[in-house]
Amino acid sequence: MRRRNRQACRSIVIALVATALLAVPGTPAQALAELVIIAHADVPVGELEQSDLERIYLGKTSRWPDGTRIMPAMLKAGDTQEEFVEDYLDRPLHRFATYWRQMVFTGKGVPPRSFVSETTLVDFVTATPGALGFVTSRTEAAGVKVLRIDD
Amino acid sequence: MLVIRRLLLPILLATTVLAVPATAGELGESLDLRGFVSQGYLNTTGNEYLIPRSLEGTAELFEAGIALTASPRDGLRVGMQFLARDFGDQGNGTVALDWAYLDFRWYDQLGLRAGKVKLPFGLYNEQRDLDILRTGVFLPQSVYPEYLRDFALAYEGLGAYGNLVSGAGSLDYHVFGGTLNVPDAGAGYWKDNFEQGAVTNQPAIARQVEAERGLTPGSATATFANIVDPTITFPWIAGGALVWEPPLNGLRLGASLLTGRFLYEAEARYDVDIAPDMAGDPLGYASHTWTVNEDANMNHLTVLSAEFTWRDLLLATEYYDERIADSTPAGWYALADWRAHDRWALALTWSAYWHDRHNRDGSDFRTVGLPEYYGWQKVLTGAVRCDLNENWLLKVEYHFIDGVAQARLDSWQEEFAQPAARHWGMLTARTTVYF
Repeated sequence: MRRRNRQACRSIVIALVATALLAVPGTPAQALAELVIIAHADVPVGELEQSDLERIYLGKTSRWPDGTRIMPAMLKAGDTQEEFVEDYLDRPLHRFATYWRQMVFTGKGVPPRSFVSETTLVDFVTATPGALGFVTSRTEAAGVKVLRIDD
Repeated sequence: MLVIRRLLLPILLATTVLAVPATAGELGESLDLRGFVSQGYLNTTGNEYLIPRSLEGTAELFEAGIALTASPRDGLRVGMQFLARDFGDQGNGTVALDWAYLDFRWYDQLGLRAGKVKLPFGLYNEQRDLDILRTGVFLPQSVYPEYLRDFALAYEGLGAYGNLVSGAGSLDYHVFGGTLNVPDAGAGYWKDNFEQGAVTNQPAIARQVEAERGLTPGSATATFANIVDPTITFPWIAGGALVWEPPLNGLRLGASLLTGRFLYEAEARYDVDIAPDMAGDPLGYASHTWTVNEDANMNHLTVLSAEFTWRDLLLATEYYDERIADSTPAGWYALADWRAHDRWALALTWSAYWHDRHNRDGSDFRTVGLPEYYGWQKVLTGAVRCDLNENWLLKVEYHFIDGVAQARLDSWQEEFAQPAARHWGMLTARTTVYF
């Protein structure tokens, strides 16, 4: 009898945990997809360090090694954007936004171009020499170079 | 420098216009237009501070700005901001060119800026009029006094800047030379200082009139009437700022220097009453003009800075040290800023300012008969910011203040007669809409 009760308890706990996991808000399939860093096909590098990526998106590094101007691109909003800023630029999204507000209002820079969808971002990167961007792995990104990012 | 100033705007506009036909498509994509409108309220207890009539509460705290940046050619950027500002008796809503410059960046390691350029001084001087970037209404006044905003906002001249990367981290530098432009030397801090000196000087003026006319000592009384044609010019200034980001993520260390020279010229007019029965002077009344012509060296203004950010927490501290002629004030602050929620942020600041860094206990004031707290101003500030949405914010902050080294004081005679309150406060609130 005691054993049956214990089994029943375990079943309830498993059911509760499973329900909780399934019910966790804000974990859509999109956020679980891996981020991919993409660049225009002619960009003269195959990999970047995370610190390079950070400096590019903060406007401190502006040219590829061959002198081409780097054209960083972002998404306007969404989980992918937030994940990129938090994981690759190592700061909360609000700090990144504040940084660029400061640069703009002091005339020291123009923020990365931003796009409403990953598809339009890919189109921009495909068509623009020196362009750099990011998308989730499930987004079709033919015609661009995928860059490896080292920590 | 006046020639540079007159030519600045036409050169910037001409450069932009000339660049447009060649790159019209790109220009459309590289134009950036931003703006903000901000209205505040300020109320002090005990003493006047920052704005005349602050004791009664004042809404003369308004700013509206529009900033345009364009990148017409690779490496070239043109930017300008127009700002309308009302800060007590300063600005009064007049639209002025806040900053405007050409920026050519050859390499990441070297770029040049020419025009009216935001002055890099401390970590936050360039953003002092951008309250959307911080939690508090004001930056800590011990290092960034609001009453010197016109003086410290931007230099007019040429600067070189860049970013150097090595195994020791990243180093941003900006060196510059040129001049400063105080648009109205008859308002704000300059007016207050001059008037305080002029009123304090009333007895000396009366004695001078008596001596000139051969009158009986004590027969004349001088009363300050007004300032005529005040001007402040900076024949030259130079300086630089370094910001080093060592390999410890989130840490920034900075050092800034500003040096130069300034000329202050003005005339103070006095009404002089003469007692006829004592002096035998048939007029009984005279006017007297005191001409001030001060040529002072700005030996140095320096700031040492440290900032550390970790996730939603920002910690910062800066030390300010100045020597202008015989004046040697200093100040520092420590700030903790926490983004508690997507919409809410809190900040707590401890700030201290000394009239004379060699006399931090105020004993020099005690020696002449004033309370020692005239020598310092120590402030604990708590601030709350709420972002109502992505384009609209509201903030409130309160300052608990000990000492009056930065307060708006009366003439020294009046201060001796009735010293300012030692413990006082300031409540300020602000709302800003921006895009």
